[in-house]
Amino acid sequence: MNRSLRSRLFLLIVLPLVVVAGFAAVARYVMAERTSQTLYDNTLLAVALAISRDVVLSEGDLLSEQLLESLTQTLGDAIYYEVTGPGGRFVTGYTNSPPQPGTEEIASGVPAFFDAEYFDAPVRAVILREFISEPQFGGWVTVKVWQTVRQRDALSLQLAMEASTLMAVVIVAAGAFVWFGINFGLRPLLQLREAVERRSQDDLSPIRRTVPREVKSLVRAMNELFRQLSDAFAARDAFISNAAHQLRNPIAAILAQAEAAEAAPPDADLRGRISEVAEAARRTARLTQQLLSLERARGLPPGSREEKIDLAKLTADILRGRAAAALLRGIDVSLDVAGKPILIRGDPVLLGEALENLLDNAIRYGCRDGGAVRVAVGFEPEIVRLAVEDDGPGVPPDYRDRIFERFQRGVDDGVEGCGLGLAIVREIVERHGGHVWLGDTPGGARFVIELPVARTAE
Amino acid sequence: MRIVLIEDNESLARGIATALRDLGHAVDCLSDGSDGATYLTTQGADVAIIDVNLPGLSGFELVRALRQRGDSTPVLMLTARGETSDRITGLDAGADDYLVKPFDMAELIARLRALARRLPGLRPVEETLGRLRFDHGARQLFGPQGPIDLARRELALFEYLLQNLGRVIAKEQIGEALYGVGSEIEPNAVELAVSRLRRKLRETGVEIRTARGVGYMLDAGNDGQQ
Repeated sequence: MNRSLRSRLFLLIVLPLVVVAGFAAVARYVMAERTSQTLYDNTLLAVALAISRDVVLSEGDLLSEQLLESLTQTLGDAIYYEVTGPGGRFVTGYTNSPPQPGTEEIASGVPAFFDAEYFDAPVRAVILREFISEPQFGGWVTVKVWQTVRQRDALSLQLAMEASTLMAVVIVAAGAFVWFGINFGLRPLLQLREAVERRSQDDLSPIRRTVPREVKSLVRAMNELFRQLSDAFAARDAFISNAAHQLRNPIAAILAQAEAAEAAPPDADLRGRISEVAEAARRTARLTQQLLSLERARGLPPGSREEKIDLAKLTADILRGRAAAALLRGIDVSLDVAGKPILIRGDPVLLGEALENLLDNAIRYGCRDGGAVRVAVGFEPEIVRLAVEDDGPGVPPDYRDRIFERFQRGVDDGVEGCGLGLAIVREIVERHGGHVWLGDTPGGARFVIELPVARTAE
Repeated sequence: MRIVLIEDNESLARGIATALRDLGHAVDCLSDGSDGATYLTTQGADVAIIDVNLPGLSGFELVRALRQRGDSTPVLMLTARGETSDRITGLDAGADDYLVKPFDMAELIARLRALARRLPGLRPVEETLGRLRFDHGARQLFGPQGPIDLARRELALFEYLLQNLGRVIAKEQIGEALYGVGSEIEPNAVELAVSRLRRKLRETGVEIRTARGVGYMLDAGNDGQQ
């Protein structure tokens, strides 16, 4: 429905008005016609009575031309008559009178009106039967009088025209009032629109103008959206500046160490200095990779690359890639799968990334050489639970709450790391409708991911 | 080995080439996909390292064309991280292995060595691992106290693990390599073969490491790893 609110309101108010006015005009026309018919019938009856008397008085002679003419002039329509005596004997008047519809006997003294045609023109007729006790043609005399209906139709038409004109005037006037009324009533909305239009992406402050009650909730929702947007912009700005700072440090380190190697005296330990450069570069590579991962996890529309995933297989594949380095350090790596495997819906690249980060944390920071990393995948009816556990130093209590935030590092122990890994994990898991937390384990750290089975594939 | 490196990131290519030349390999660098295809057709190489995103012709198309010609030159693909589909498409196209950027040079060298090991023409006749010596031609293993006799399955297992030295291999994959794809094997057949082989490798500095639930890996020990 893309028609404007104004025209919607206008149509909804004016269209019923037109229909009602139409009915009213028709009713007015019907009533007018009935009224004019009654009027004309009364006149016709009066004429019929007059003729009947006149004929009796003149003893069956023709109605005087003079009287007929004056009657016609007064009534506006030509008058015709026929008088028949007892037994249908023609007494006087016009021939070819319009036949009476039906055959019923006409009661004495009661006029019978009917519509008929006379020389192809519509006429209104009345029949009057009277018993006349007069010697010459004593007995039942029938007087039939008819008249063309031009004048009567003209009157009806005129009444109808007047009614229609009146209705049209009323409708146009009402339409104009409604139109202006709607415009006036919608003015707060138009002002609100202009106020929103004037805004830019820099002005995301809430709308404070007073608005009608009906749009208050809309404005409230818009204000909520503005708030979320400005929070998101602020978070992004903070992220970018934070990322720039984080990148600046290792790049400065690379530069310093590379320059030191460049300017090294001949007998210096060049190899040692260069491996420091390599180490700093590795840290930078890892940081940029993490930043990209985080942006990818945040930037993709949800569900865009979802497919059915066997989480146990995905975990085994990723663990296999990571296990070699751990095994060479004497770290015990194991994977346990419990429960009946269920396919879940998810983005395999992102979930793989989350897993890589947890394993990376466990192997790189969580374990000393000769330690242990235990991974467990548990399928339950409601959830799929994935736990990564190490037996390293664990997470200090005061870091537990902040460990999933960006750029927070558990311990500054000199091991490379940028503090983005767990933020990435949380971002990805929450995208999949699950959650991740730091569990409790005696010694070491245990991270648990739970993904809901509500998202399972059929 | 004669290695062709097709990679359009110039400084990365230079770094890889330098490292490989230092190890005594002959390296030719190309930065364009179609040039790479021409080179592989006309000159050929022992091993090809091919980046996925190349100007001219993508790495996938290049490998696919290579395989369609019936050329079985081992190919190691370089892909960007986080693009799982890249790995799958790469292996489907006919690449032998893939490496995700950014990678450690040591990893690249290990992967190249593994690729070379699969080819009779490239593999060294004899390899030393820890205090072990393996004669590929005679398929005979020598320990510090002389020849170690391996049963047929144990020998196949050792060769397969050696082919994948330094990598963790899933139990199912080992089962398929030893008994053939789709064959019905006892659930613990691989475990038994591994434990028998492990017993025979005792005191040699070479170990079969187990990542429970994940797979097995041959570890040549620090001193013996080439």
